Amino acid sequence: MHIVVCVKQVPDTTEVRIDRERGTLVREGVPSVLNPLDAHAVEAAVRLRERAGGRVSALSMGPPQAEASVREALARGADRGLLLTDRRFAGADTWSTSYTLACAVRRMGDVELVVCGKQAIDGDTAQVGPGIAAHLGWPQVTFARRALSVEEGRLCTERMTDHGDETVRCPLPAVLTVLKDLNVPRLPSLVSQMRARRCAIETWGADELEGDPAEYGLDGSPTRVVRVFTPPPRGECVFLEGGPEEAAAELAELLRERHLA
Amino acid sequence: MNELRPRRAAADPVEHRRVSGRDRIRRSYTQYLQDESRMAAGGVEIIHFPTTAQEAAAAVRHARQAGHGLAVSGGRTGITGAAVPLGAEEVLSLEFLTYKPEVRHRDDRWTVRVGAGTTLQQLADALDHGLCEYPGGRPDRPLFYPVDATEMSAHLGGTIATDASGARTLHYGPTRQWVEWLRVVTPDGRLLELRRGEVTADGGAFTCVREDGATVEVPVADLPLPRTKHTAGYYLKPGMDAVDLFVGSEGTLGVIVEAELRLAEKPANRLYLTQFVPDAAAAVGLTAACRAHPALDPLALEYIGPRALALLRSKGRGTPAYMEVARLPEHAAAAVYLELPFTDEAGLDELYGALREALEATDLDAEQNWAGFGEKDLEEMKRLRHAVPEAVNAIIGQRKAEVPELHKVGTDMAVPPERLGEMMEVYRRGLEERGLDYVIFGHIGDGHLHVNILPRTAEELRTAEALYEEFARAAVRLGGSVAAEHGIGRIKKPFLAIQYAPEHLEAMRAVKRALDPEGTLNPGVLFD
Repeated sequence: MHIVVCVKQVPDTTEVRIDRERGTLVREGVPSVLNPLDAHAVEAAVRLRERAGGRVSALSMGPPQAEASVREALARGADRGLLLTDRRFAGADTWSTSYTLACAVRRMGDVELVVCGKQAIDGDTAQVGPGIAAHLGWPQVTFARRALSVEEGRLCTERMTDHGDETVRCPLPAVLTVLKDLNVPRLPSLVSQMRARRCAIETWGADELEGDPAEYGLDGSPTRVVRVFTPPPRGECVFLEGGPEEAAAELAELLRERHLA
Repeated sequence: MNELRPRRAAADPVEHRRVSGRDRIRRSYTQYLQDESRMAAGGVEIIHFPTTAQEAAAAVRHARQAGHGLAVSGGRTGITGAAVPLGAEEVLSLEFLTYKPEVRHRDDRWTVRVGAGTTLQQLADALDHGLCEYPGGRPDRPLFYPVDATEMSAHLGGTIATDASGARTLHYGPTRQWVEWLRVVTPDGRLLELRRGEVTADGGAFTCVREDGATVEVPVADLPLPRTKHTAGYYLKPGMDAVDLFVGSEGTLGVIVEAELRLAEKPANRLYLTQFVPDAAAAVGLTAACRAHPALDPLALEYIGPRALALLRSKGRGTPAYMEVARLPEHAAAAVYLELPFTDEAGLDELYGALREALEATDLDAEQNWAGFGEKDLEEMKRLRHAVPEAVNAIIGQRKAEVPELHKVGTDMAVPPERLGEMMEVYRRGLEERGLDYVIFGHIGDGHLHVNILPRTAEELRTAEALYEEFARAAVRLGGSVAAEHGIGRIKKPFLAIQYAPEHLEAMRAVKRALDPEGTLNPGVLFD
């Protein structure tokens, strides 16, 4: 079985600061990491391959430096790395990104399963996995959290919903998005890290994809970011001083005043 | 020049901040009466909070004139009770002696000047984010202060007074090697400035000029200092530098209020490797192979023993290193952690080849490890190591509920690396023969492992404490130290007598008597 796992390079959120004047994230000098949920997607793909055989291709779209995340997927067990990189892909929203990724999957030809992390920690949309399924016209299983397997040519798993867990079986080919509960990603060994560093990463541009050029990048993106801002702080903050008894009495008084108790 | 000439501090125009009243302090300032050891003092009369060196000097003068003992208080992260004001009536807290670190280039080296109250974390952040003062211009490459004592909330003043060390001491050495200049409040409340290389113990002594102009001889003996990491008592060597007299003196000879520390260039790249090994002997073998290989120069070489790893495995979900424990390879019995610098891809290739050789020489599997290059990898591997003492503390906490007097017995001995195998055998035999519950982990590259004994009963506690003394004697026999990094403080005083002959202890007391005849500073620390 040929499994494609989609990965994204994101800024390390523990290092991100906000530019208070512009209200945007300061990305300069912030180290990039593999999107944490994508590590779970890679692990899921590698475990399926270990049980059912086949191969795992790591796929990403981004600037040339996004290659680092593809290499990390290789170190974590993927067999092949592929980076979609082209100025024409720049500025893509989730529609255009999933379209471009879907074109690459289609071009690979023999893919039976696409695995994605639920969402990336920078955009937080959780739209790209389902978008790929839509563009490919494949069924999708989102939020897989437990018991993932492929049995008799069907993808089986338990997925999280608002109303409890759901056990699903889905014909292949399909798109799967995973939650962090699904597995504990392994850490790469020295040998696999070195192999990943020496591995050639294939790159494809717009010309290799055979898609509709009007759908790529900023031009193909219906989403427009009108404004980015920090929400105003909500309400005031009151510090109660004094010993526990005084503070408790004052708190009770405040809650009564506001009809909260 | 061997003269120590402190100067009278400028008169205090403004009274410095302080709180007084035994009851008030006991009620609202309890944190100043204890530290990370299990000790606590009942109370003190005054706590001083100076904001300048002059104010700190005024506080010391105040204590001396009142005939009070004065305990010096930093971040209180020590575990030997050195900051607990037992036998002292006043506390000098250095937490407000902070200002923006000042980075300078001097004599071909980069240094940073800091106040004693600046924490390791604050300095690391300021250096990383370029938030220091740079009077002579900014450095053209990333610099860092390489002493990585585990507790990043430790105050720099405290780390100097205790000659702190950490995992990277293997490569960079302990604090002592990084101190260039000190401003010290002397026990009579004056200020002494010392630059390394300017005052040395020529003729076997320092001469200290007293306030009345008379001079006192500070005799410098020739102590048999072990070749290992060592923080037990004073550093005394003929011809020694006066800076070294104060580094590691645990606040008993002077109060370090300001310091200039050397900075190191950050390695361009680092490989972080946690190698899983079948047993303790394999860990010792790998350590020796790495130390012997000319192309391997690890920054850190750490160990998690089989019982420590088993303890982590027995812990369930919800513990901080749960993810790392869940990732452990099935057959991993013990682990060795290495941090290795490299310059570029060619350097990495060379490093990889050398590592493969070291692993092959010790029959270890190059697939049975975790390797990474990023900060995140470092954090994950660190989490596993740091989970061991946390798990130990959690178990002791549970056992204490049954037997309140119980506590863990944590050793701190180092031996020369070539004697490590013997020392580990001493540990194993002693602990197994007595049927004690224990784990071993720590700085294997420095021959410095921590044995943590977890007694289940009061009797086992007594057995463990007696065994600790046996271990200390064995370490000294093997040319090692009874206290490699935790210091002596108030808790480990009996170990000084195991390390040193009576005449050597007397030589240390003579230094204390010469510099602090009234015993004002940190009474009860190092000596009774």
